[in-house]
Amino acid sequence: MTDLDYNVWTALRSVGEAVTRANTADVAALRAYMLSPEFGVGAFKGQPLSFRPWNNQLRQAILLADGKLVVSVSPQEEFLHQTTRLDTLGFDQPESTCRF
Amino acid sequence: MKRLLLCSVAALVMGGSAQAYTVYVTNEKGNTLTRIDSTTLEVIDTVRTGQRPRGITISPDGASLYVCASDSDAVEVYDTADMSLRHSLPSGPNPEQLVLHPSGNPLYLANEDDNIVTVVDVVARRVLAEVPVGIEPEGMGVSPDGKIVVNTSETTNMAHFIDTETFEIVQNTLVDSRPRIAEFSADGTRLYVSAEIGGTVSVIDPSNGEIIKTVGFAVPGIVPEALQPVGVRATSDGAKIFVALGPANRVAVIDGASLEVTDYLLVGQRVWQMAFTPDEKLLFTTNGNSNDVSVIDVEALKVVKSIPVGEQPWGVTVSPN
Repeated sequence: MTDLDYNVWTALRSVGEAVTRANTADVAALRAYMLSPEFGVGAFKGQPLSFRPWNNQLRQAILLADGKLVVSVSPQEEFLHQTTRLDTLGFDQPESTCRF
Repeated sequence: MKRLLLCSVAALVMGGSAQAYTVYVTNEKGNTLTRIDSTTLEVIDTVRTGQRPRGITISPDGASLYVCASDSDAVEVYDTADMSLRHSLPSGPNPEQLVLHPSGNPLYLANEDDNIVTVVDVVARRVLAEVPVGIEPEGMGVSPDGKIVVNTSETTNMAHFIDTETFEIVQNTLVDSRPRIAEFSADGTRLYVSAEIGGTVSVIDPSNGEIIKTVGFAVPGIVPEALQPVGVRATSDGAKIFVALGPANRVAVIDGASLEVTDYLLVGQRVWQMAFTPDEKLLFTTNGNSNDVSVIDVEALKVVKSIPVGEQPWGVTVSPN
């Protein structure tokens, strides 16, 4: 599976998840649901992924690997966050000037 | 003397696990199976299996042990008398969890990669049916009367109710994310479905598929993401429901009447599957990351021992006699 394959798979999984949970096919309603704190998609083993409503990025875990060996998975549990530990990765809203 | 003997026999029957059962544990990474004596709580021996042994169950007479060798694409049947490999059953690719009909035949198993449940006649050794279900089928449960088999699909997030006569899906219930286990209560009036990513256990009325209650978990000092319910086992009187919480390294205890969590028991790391002894005095848990099995005293709700087993223990079952 390449990066592109995974992106497409996660995108379709997100739509499928939103349709079954929100029980609607209305695009605007699905979009609102996917950006809400209620939304979570089991696209990565161990924790639900969600979207950052301020820049539409998917919050996702990162595998730390060396060659064939996965050493660890970030976020690291020592880093805490008021919303989700996945937001300890990358720039967070207060540090970013990006806006949608 | 006779009275003394009688007393000691009574004490033997009432105290602890008087009868010796054999506990079978599959070690997913070690490609082995560990046997444990339920009275001494010592390892009896370790047996080599096919590749990546996961789901495991035993025939009602205790004579045959069924092991999903996932990466060998087979269900291996072992003779419990001498632990020899009797034969393999046709299973379809990548079998993960399995459940036997209460009568001992047929066997129902989830094929994770092919989105089907395979029904296998264990005597004739042939596939009776392939039932299309949701994506990534995983958990398998059978109703006490044997009329319904429930499969959970990890990506579709549903419990699928399959009629064992017609092999048709008669009902679907949407549950929380990544359902892992479906377990019926002994009286058949409840179905418990754990959701690993959702972090909940759904209590379902099997007669109509409605969710009676969704039970959540909270442990001080543990991030909610680590509370990942997998294994579920309920005592036959329905009073206690045990839920393995994966990387939270805890087993939650739910009160059967109120459906509230009453206790969290600290066990080994990444606790996955569980099995009672037939007398329900002890509960064994597989701890995949600490390579051991925790033994829980069901009455006292205490963890009484950790037993080192093979690499990455996954499934567990206990002999009926």
